[in-house]
Amino acid sequence: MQSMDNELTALTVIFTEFYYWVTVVMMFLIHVGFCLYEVGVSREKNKLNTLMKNAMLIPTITFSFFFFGWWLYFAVPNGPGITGGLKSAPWSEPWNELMGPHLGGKPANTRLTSADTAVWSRLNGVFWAAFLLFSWTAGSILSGAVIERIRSAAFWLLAILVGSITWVIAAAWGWSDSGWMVEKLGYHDAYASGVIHALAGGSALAILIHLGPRIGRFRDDGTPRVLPAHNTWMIVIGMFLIYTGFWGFYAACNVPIIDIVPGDTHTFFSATTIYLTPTTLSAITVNFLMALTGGLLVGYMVSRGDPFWTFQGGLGGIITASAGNDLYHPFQAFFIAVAGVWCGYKLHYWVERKFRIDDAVGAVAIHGYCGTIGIIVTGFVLWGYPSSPNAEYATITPWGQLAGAVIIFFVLGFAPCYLAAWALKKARMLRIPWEVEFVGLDHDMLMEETASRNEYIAAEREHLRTWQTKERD
Amino acid sequence: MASTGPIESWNINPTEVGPIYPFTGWTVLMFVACAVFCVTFMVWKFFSENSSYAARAAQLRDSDEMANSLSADNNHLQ
Repeated sequence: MQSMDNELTALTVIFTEFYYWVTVVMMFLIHVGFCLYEVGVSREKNKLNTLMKNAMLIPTITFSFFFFGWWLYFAVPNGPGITGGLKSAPWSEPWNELMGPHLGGKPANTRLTSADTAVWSRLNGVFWAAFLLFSWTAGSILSGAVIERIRSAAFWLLAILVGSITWVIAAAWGWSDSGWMVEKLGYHDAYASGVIHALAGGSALAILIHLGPRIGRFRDDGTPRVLPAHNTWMIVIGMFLIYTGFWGFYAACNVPIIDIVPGDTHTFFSATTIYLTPTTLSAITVNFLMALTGGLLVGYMVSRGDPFWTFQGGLGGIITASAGNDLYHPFQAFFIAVAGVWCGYKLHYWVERKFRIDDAVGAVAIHGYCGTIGIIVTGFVLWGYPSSPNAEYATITPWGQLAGAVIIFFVLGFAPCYLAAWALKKARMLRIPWEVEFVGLDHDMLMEETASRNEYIAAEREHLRTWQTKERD
Repeated sequence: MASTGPIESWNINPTEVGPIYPFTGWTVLMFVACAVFCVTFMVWKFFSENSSYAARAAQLRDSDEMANSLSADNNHLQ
């Protein structure tokens, strides 16, 4: 436990622990935002079901991520079978002592070393929580797209698939300092345009194909009808909260303080990306805001001032620029955001009309298309940059990023959810019956509420009549 | 007095202390119990949702509620 016996090194450890803790609290707002946003978009007759479907992905993804998601991240960066075998990571196993309170001294478990306990005793929990919040985000991206007709149990199962398995594999492969995609393809995705957003967008698209549109969504000629949101203010506040939480997401993608010089030649401490390549909080803060600005401007412009698409544009702008926001100049972040949101918006309506895909919140466009565009653009703008401090790793290239985009969007995003949603559909467990969809998912609750209201109003009247009779007598 | 975990005094050398939670050797059993509970929740949700939707759909097909909802002037919740 060499770190904690010296004030300066102890301060570094405790600062790192506190840093991630703060990001977790901030990222919680993403989920609050998603809940508000989805409930706002849903119609009056479905709002409570929409809320519970999204809120309950918190426990379902959390338990599955605790059971196997965290271990998966450390176990499969090599494929396995591409650059090596399955890696041993005892600290991430759900029954391991380092998942609980630990002082970092002598391990009780013989599979752990003193080095393991020294490193992970104060970081395992906050790292786990930061990754878990990313998992919730992945699940929430699906949630919005499928509202008002998916069965909750089916959704939670799909959310576990994406939140605790597929995005975690994507992160191990392409969002880790030793992932095979980084090593062999030079894949670069600093703030998760791909491993979270493109992947979840691809997953949502696959589910939507099997789920089908809401009743009445399309006219006979294939043009879409607007199903009016029940509360625009909830949507707007939700989007602002997602923006706010996204600050925490960006910070959580960094390692706050670490020696960035390989070997022992000299020492230089800096913030780094997940790849241990240097960046600064200052730079990514400016890029975040410039990407938000570009996205808002173009979202407003292409939608002719529609509030829904303007706010979505802001989010799409950040998502498009995120893959390279560790190194972009703010003007680059701005124009990449502009291009991404413009393409995402156009693609959304093209896909909607061509294939009758009913994406209730535009999640596939803003997360899937913008994220994928962001990965590919990074290959051109950062062409030739090292992907890692390890000089043996491939450099960033357009073809490496393109291959990465295909793997993330189609292989890990689209394909697993296509198969899972197909199986659920075959078992008649994917979509609610049309009768229930028509009267609304909250129908029974609303009827009970009405009955309760009528009963107490009747009781109040009866009480008043009794009182008046007594007064008269 | 013996405690439920490895800590019986805080007057210790922290560099020699590992886990500090109670019932330290029971984590596999706790994991199994937690996993059984969570899997049971998912199975229960699938079955209860299937049966409640099936019953609700049948009830709606055979009742006046659907006719009322289909009425053109009853669209306040749509």
